[in-house]
Amino acid sequence: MTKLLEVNDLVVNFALRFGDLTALNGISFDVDSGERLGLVGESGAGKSVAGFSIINLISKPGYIASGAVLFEGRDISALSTEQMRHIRGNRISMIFQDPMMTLNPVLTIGTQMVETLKAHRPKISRQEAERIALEKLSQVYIPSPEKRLQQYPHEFSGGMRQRIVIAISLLTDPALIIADEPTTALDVTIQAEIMDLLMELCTTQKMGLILISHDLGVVSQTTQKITVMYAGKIVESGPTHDVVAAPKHPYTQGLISALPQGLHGGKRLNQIPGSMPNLTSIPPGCSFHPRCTHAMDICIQHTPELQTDETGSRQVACHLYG
Amino acid sequence: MKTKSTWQRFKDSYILYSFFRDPVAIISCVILVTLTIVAFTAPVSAPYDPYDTSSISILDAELPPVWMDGGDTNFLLGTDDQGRDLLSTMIYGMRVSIIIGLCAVALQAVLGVIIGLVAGYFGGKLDSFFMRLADVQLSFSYLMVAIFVSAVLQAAIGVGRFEEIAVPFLIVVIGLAQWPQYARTVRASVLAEKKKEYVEASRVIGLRSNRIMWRHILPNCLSPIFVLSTIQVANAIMSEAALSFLGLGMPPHKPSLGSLINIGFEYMLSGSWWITAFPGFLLVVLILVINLLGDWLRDVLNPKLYKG
Amino acid sequence: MFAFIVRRIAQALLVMFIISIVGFAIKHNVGDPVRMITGISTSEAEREALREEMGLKDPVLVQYGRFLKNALHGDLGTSYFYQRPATSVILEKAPATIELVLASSLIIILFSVPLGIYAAIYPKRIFSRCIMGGSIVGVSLPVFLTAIVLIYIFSVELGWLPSFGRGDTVNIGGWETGLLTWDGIKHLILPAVSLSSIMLPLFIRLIRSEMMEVLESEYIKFAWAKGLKKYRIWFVHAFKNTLLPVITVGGVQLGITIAFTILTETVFQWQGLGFLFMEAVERSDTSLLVAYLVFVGLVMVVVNTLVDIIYGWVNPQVRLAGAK
Repeated sequence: MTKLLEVNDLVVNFALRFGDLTALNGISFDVDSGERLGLVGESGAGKSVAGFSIINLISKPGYIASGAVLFEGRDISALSTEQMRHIRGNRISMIFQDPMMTLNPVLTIGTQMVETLKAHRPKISRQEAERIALEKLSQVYIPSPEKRLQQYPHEFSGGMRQRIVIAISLLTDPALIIADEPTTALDVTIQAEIMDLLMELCTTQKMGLILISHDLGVVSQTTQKITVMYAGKIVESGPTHDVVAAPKHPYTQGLISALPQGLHGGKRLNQIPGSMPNLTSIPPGCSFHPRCTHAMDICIQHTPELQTDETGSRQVACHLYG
Repeated sequence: MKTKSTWQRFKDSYILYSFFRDPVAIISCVILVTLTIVAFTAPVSAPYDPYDTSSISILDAELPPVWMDGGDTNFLLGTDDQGRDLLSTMIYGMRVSIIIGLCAVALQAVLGVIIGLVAGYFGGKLDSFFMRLADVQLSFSYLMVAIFVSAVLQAAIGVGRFEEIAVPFLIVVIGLAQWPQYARTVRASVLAEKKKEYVEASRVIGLRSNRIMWRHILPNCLSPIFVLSTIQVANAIMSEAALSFLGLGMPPHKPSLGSLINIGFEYMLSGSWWITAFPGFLLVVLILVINLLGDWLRDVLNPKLYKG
Repeated sequence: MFAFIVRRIAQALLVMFIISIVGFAIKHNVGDPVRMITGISTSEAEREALREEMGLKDPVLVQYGRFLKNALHGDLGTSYFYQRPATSVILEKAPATIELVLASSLIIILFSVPLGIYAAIYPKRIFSRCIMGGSIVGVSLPVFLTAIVLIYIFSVELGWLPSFGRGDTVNIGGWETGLLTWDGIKHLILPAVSLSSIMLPLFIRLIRSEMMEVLESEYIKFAWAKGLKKYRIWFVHAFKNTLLPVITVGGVQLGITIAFTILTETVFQWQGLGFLFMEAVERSDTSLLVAYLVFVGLVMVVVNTLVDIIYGWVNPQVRLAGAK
């Protein structure tokens, strides 16, 4: 049975004045209908680029150098812009980080919702489009939706705006939603509401969800599978519960122990020394070795491959595991 | 770790690297430097002194350039209606234009930067007042103001006295008219910097406002000031040319490029096109290279464009 | 929104007030009106008597009051040269300048919008680079030089278009228009092109740079992610946001355009307000100078206020701010 989305060995480069820079160095992951995948890593790891590359919307001068993105069995990485247009916002929707920046300040919410429907169903009438828009606004629990269509983005609070963005992404009943840091710009209390909403919608609508975040706490509570990225590569992946309870890769271990929860008051926070390398100067061998407490000689010489364990569901790229 | 000196940092910097890669920037710079040197060594670089009335003879008037019929090897680009050598007059005229341009911009910059710093840093009523003033002043084109003030001044004190104070007057008028641009730009930078942590930190340490403003905030606002300055010099030179063209700037016996174009205009239809053409060409080249350099500077100093 | 309008109008009135003071100061201190209207043979005593009669001996504030009152009724003094009320002279010449400005504005809008948008969307194409290169050169050409060059090429060498004056004009209810005759339009072409020659490249660059910045914004990226068609993204999402700063700058440029009309009209001997102004300068006709100042000041203040109000209305964040 083909998975909803399969990313195979994706390589994404940026064409700069000084030469090409590799932002994603052969990553692979997959999501099925109704499944929730978390893509975790620090800023600069490449998770946002991974999200954008699924719908081929990487900011210039980025481009897909090799690899495949199979959506419902079909490779969409090499499609033309017009063919891609039918997928974006239609079969695959994306939610961005900051809802104030995502919505066009000079257009009403109604306009921004109706146009999405019209772009993908040209024959649809305005009344029908508005009806669907109202239905989706209710689904995201926005009160008095009829009034909202006439209003402008700046008239709403941050949490409401993100709900509207989610509503927009639901308009065409997509098969997959990519959420890039959807709660980072919001207050903590609102974060929980939004994440609950997303989870509920995914379960009821049987949509796939890719949650991209640097917040391991949020990801661990809302996803079923997790993939950890570091400097453009995947270092560990597997069922969320298992990975969080017993992380294998030293980086993952460091991320989890750095979480403040579970610490008694007065204790110092655990930090991973050093910082993620700049894409222009990635260390040889395993890119994590300068910061790794378990680093061995082999780590500097050979880049570890991603290996699947006996259970078949967990993968890790580390010389500690052979 | 050895800290590099400022000169060394400059040499290694991206700016210099980018400069040598950009042919337009290099050519413009070379032309500009050449023109400036020629202008400021005027007594040496010009074959004649056009202000020395004893050296001009009206009989030499309206001679064409040397490569045309009737041309005289003494006067390479021909002569104007008074018999002055066009090349020399152009060089002297260019010198005046450049001096006025630089001084006017210096005045604008000093005034605008101080007001911008003060308004941005202290905020409040002071800020509102200056920004309102700037708004109003900006809504009246500076050229309009300059033309009007010159006209009124000329009417008030007569043409003769006006000519005496022409140069400083032009500097002041153009200078005062354009400070709002600087003030606005600097104020915007100051407001952005004020929010940054190092300002809070400086205040916490207890540095006086003056010191914070000058030594810490100002250096961070420098790049927009540089970009603005190049554009403003080009504008100032153009304004001076426009004023002189209208007869409200440099007088005809000490002409700048604008005045020469004015003089030449009358003679253009009767055939002596060179009196307008050559000064015109020189003026355009001068303004163009400054604008090109300003554009290049803006591109290079804009961090957003590092993406290539 | 309402509060916004009121504030802008108050500011406009304040500026007009300052202009009136400046105008009056000039009128009061520059030139001697008595000397203008009397001959050499008039005795000093007679001049004094005349001064008394004309109210020139009254305290300054009274004179200012009179000036203000007259101005509000449309009386801005009498032009010495024309021997007519300054206001009527101005109103007579105004149509010429207004038609010139309108024609050049039309040229600017027609060309800068498509060229600017194109150069923003496809910045690397050769045509875009040509546009940008051309615009730097355009910005470096002083307007009077462009006018002279145009005259030289089109009038002197090619003889296609006339080089001075307005041509045949038709008088419609006091408005002397050159738009109704082919000859009039022919005369309008070169001056209008000259006048737009500096503003056009400026607007092209402005539209291009604003649009490029807008195209990088998150909401445009989101629009692509929603799968909208590219024309909708460019012309509805992007352009509407580009318009806002362009409107603001456009308003300011009007003031500069007025200055440029002086230059253009001088070169083309175009009998408009700019030409009138230069004549007044040459003749030291202070009344006319002051009248010009007040008139032009009024026009600029009105236009700037209107532009601000239009901006406030178009930008929903301003429009709705007052309603809360």
